Amino acid sequence: MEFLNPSGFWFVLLTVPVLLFYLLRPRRREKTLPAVLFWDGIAGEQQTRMFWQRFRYPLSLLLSLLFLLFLTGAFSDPVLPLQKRNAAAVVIVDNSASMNVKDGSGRSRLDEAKSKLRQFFDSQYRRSPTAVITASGEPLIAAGFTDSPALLKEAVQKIPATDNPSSLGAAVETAELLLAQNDSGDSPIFVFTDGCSEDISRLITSKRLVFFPVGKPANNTALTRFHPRRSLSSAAGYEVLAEVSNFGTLPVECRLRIVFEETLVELVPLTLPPGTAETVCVSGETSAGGVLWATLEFPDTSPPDALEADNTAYAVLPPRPPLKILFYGEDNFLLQKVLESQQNALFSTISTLPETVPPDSVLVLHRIMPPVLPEGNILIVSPQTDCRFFRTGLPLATPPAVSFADFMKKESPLLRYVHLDDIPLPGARKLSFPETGDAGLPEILLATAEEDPLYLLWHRRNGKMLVFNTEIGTGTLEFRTAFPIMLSNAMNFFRNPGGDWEPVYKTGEAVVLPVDSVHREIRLCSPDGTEQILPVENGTVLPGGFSRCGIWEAFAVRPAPGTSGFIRQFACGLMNPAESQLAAVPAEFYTRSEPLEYALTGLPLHFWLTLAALCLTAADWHLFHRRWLD
Amino acid sequence: MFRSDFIKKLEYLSLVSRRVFRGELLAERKTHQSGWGIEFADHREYFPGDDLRHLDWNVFARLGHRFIKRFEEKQDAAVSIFLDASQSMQPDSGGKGTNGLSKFDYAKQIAAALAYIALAQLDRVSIISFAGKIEEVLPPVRGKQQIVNVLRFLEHCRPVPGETDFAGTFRSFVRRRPRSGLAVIVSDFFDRRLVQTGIPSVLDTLTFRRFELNIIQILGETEAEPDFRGDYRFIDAETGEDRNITVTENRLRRYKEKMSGFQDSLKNYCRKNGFIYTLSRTSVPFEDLVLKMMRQTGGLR
Repeated sequence: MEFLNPSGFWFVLLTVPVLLFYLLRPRRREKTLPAVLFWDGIAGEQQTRMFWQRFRYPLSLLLSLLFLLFLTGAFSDPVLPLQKRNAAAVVIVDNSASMNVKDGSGRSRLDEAKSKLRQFFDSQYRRSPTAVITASGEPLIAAGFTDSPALLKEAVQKIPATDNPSSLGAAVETAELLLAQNDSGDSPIFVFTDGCSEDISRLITSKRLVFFPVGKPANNTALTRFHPRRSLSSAAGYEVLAEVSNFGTLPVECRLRIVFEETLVELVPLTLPPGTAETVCVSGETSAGGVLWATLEFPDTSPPDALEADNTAYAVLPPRPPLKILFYGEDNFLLQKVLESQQNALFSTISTLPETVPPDSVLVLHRIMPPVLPEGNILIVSPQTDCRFFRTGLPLATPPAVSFADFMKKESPLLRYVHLDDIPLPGARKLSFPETGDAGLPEILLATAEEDPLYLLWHRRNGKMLVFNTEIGTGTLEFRTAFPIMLSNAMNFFRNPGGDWEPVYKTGEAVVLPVDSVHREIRLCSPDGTEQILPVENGTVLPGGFSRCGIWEAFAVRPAPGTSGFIRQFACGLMNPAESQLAAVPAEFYTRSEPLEYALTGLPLHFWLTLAALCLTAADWHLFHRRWLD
Repeated sequence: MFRSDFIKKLEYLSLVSRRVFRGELLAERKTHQSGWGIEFADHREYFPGDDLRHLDWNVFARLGHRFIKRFEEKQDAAVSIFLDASQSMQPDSGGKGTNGLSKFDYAKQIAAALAYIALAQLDRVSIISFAGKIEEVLPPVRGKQQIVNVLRFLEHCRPVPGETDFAGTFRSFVRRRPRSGLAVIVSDFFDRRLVQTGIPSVLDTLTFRRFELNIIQILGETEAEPDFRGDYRFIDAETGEDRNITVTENRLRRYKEKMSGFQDSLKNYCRKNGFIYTLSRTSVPFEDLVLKMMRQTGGLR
């Protein structure tokens, strides 16, 4: 505390005459009465033994001394630390997902923080230039340095609610940077937050930060993971992994409802003790694609769930068009039947080779092979002639026996679920590869013990090429059993090399969205209806991060006539345990009381001291009159 | 001392005594004794030695039997008036009434008026002036003409130093073996022993000697209704003791409660024993006290 007028302390000298007034006693008037016996027992003057007992009316004396003390304090014009005019100050407002928790009256924590902020701006007696920073996702400066409460209140009022995770640590660093640029490195930083942040344990030890706690610990159950992927066993299938966590202090019973495009996929009842999580895996099939979403449903008997944003999660399953299989060559019953039976595939036999295989197609060549292979994905089964990638030699003398341990790339997706150990593959020819040219060397997936290649892969510029160097239909039962699996792996391989899809984006994360390069700009629409126009550069869009949970949609800015211009959807979810752990805020965060200056409602301290002195005067006046009554 | 019309009114009054005392001389007060009087009472049989003047000759002439006529005898009563002459009755201690009289002057007027009433009834009147002890005594006098002596005695009385002591006064009074009768006590009753030890222990000294009490308590205005506030050093007029008191409203209220309690105890004692209690302030006109208040309380008839 500082005193702007230290000479005001001279007023304390008035204590001496006050003490004298209470020490000196007026001479009593003498009066002769017929008898004093009726005055006995009615309080008279007590005998004084100690010096201090000689003071009259101790309570009045105390009030008078306090009056002088307050008046001296008021004249010396004290200023509390936060009322001191600083070069600058920064206010950090947490508008993360946890700030959307509502209390019993329906008011969110963010609304409560805004209310406190307005009161805080009013409480600033000597106003310092103040900036406002939001602390969710990337810290943003909501208001630059200004000492106008109206501007600051307006900026605070415009702070939006988000589903972003809290970024208090980054916001504090930004605030410190701002203050350092304004030569006010020791100025305080005011933080309005509910404490649901990964950085809170570190930040509450900082003496520079002045916290204004918002909200109280609450029970919450959240979907902390929701991850879909392509099914590895089915061309049209998908699998989804969901994790539900109970962050509260009470056991929770709930149901996890998983829905795909208005169709119920799974309804899983869950019982979660406090602090536990449960994982659920669900699978389904779709080739059209769509939105898959999961939501938690709580019965009435369950403890109230505080945060809604983490009770629902979304995923966008991409459409998967059928793979067109173009068969060319000699007929083979087994081969053709296996190809026809492929899931999500359209089989057809062609008599004329195309110059280029379309991107959503694969060309299957059986025994007959043109000298110049077309561009695109090609599967060659039992080659009999040469091409620029390899030359065929004589059939191998003995049926090659495959050593699974030494000559099989078992980690390859093309050999998934297949064990070819000591199984003869008849009809194989010796293959050799030209050392010159641009064909390159193949990746050998399967070979004989003499290292003669049986299953080969070329990564070409415009496609992939698989060569299966064996006769179909003449092998053993084991081979004829394994062959359909290998062919299914090959078709999946031509569709997409991996099983993962585009992830479910987390709110607040910086994302790079793939968009077709034909668009120069896209219109990105959030789940709550807000829109933003973003440029497309090199087939990507940089929105900075999604701030709301749900399905975001990208549209063309200038759509073709008669179309909506819809491009694609993106799924976004909270899935941040730090935001969902509403009951895990350190207790010392709440025990840090709000500063005294906050309660002074913007009035200077000398005003309150003067008011207190006036109250004491009134009390002394009351005592003075009471003395004559009592 | 008194106006003539007031004296005329006094002559029609008499001191009330609920008991009948045995007198010595014929007077205006009825007794249970039969003897020489005017009012016929009854007859009784003649016995030798009876005064033949009271023989009913008419009956003897008609019936031949000798009967003696009996008459109601009126005797005098002994009236002892105790006049408090302590310092508490002084003019400058209790304040003066609206008529300018101090408590002592007021008490002397009461004593004179009561003495005149008693003398007019042919009663024996004695006045005892006392404070800590009996100071002066007017021996029993009888007859209206003795009022001059009474007034002279009262004129001569002065407040004396010393603390009021009712118990000692009454003890020394009864040791003189006075004739029992009516005892009129005119005082403010500010006696520490009376307050502390209780009224019966003091006044029973007289009642055990078959005295009937007529108590007249006189208070000054400042005693009954103190009108001062602030820091005071009170000095007791009799003992010289002092008390430093800051007089406030609440303390005044408590003082009045104590004073009222003492008056009530005095009144209750009288009511319990069938005595007369009259409370008066010096502000009350003296004639109103004698002609109205004492008649209302039954002290005069």
